Amino acid sequence: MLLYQFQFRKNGLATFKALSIMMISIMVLTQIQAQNEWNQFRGSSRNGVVNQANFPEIIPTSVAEPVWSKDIGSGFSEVVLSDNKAYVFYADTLHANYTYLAALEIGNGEELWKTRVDSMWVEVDGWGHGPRSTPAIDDEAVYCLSGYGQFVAIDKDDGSELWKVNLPEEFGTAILRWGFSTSPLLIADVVILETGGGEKQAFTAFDKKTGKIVWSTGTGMASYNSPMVADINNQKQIIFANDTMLYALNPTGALLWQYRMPLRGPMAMPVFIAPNRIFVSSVSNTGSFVLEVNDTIATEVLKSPTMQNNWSSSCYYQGYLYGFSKAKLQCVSVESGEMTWGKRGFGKGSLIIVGDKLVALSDQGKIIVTEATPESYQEVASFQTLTGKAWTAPSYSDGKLFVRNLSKVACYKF
Amino acid sequence: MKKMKQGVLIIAILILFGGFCFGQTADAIVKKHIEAHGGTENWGRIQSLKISGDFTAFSEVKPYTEYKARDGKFYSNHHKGQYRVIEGCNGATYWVDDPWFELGFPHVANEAEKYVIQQKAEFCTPFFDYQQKGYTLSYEGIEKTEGVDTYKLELTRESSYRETWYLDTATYLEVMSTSRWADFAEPTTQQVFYSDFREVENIVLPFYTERVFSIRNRVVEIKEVEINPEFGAAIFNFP
Repeated sequence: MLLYQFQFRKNGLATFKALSIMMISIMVLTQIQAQNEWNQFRGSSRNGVVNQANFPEIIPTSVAEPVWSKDIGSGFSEVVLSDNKAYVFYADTLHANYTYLAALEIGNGEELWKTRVDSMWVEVDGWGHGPRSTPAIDDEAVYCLSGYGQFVAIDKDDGSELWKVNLPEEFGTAILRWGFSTSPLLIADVVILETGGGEKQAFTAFDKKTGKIVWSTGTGMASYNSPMVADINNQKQIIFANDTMLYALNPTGALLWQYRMPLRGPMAMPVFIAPNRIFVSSVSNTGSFVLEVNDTIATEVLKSPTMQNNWSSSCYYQGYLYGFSKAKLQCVSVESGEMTWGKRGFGKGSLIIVGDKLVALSDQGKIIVTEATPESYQEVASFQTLTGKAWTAPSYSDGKLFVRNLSKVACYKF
Repeated sequence: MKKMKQGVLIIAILILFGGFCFGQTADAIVKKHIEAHGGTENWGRIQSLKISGDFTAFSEVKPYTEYKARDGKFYSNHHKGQYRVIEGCNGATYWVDDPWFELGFPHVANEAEKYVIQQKAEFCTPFFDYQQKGYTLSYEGIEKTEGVDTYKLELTRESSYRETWYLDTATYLEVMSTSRWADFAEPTTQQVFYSDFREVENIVLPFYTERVFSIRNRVVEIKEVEINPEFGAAIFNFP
């Protein structure tokens, strides 16, 4: 009996150890898979940076043939990637003139399903029709916001509509001149948006399953900005840059701190600089500033005109910010605000960071790969992708780079 | 005491002749600048230019054409995004036809727009015959601009508008300039960056020009330059 107990304990311990290792492995693999997905605006970390140890050795040069490309229609939403599917949010300007979310097979671009979300956002200034906001994806649904403010949850597997909320109807939100552009943020069981409905309706968390309002707070019209999330001082903080104010809320909607910005109406999403700094930039002479947050006190530690982001957000990497200041690709020290190098000729482009490389996209669809270093502009490769105006940042996952413009989407092996 | 006297003497010489030396330097720089652009003689035979290429505004690349003639005559046909924009001057009247204003007809340029057209109408840079045109010039020293050493020159037009030009110390060609500009007819300031200099029939022009003002950037890529082309001068007139 004693021997049996001993053996049971011994075997049980071994089994427990094995199970523990298996569980941890699964958790780590799941985490890695999630990190490798581009499942929301600016990627899984919502900062435009893909932490990848090894940058692919084979980079296309000159004119690269895409793995696949597809006519889709117009829009500015980033291509989002999850579970071997690429989700594109677009207005079908070629046929139906509606806004759709479509799921494509990631390997060949074959359409798996498409779901009508809203009518086509019509752009009065001619910048381009279709949606601006980038959808967010969790295990079950894709959450997308049309230019007219139709916020819809769609089953990620079969494309069926799960729920929808019309922001102007629900919140009395004024439709923005260039359309609703804010990209939803997923935290735990809620999906968070700038709703801009006036008193205590500026920022809203919706139940992911039902679309019911969990909390709504703040004051201010909807802006073109998207909320950022960061862990600061052991506290998850949701940061909204709205008009002249920066607000930090906790996941239950309580205000942690607020700060009057020295600039107005930034479109580029704020950038988190761990452990407790936030960089905000706009296309104004003020340029940018950096806040340091301690407890619930935000203090400005830097103001510098050198980085003037228009709609394209900067990326932070090892002490430096890389981004498009109007139409100049730049590297700027986050400590001093000084530019270490700048390069013109790419128009108002966009960029992401993969491993230790910048992957910039010119406003004419040219990909430029450079070293992410403050020393100098060091181009590694460049190649032309889709031709025509390209205002949407590329998306990247597992060796595949996705670009889109106002008519096509394409996938490149990378 | 002796050293102090020497110091005072040196300072006095610098005060007395400094401006003269700088003036000489400015003219010497401009002379080499004009030579780098093809020289006075080659520019002197040019009565008109037709320049065509691509104009990029709002990230949309579209063809453009402009005509320049002596006496500041100018005509430009380009697109700003979805709209075709025409500007001109017949030497007396400056005008703009820009659908972005939602007027539906051309209008006589305001002061800010007039200066824009005057700058565009220059045969290359404003340094040619600058004294005859009533412009004044000062040399402000050497500065690093866009990564290269440049001569910094301050040019003041007859209208008293001031421009700053940065010329490459190695080539004497322009790297950058700053001046007043207009955005939707409102005065603003601009920076212009010049590159891809090419020779066409013995004159040298920047084939790539990027203009940054307000939140905007505009790119001109020249594809063809015709010297002394034939065309009807009526295009310069207010429509």
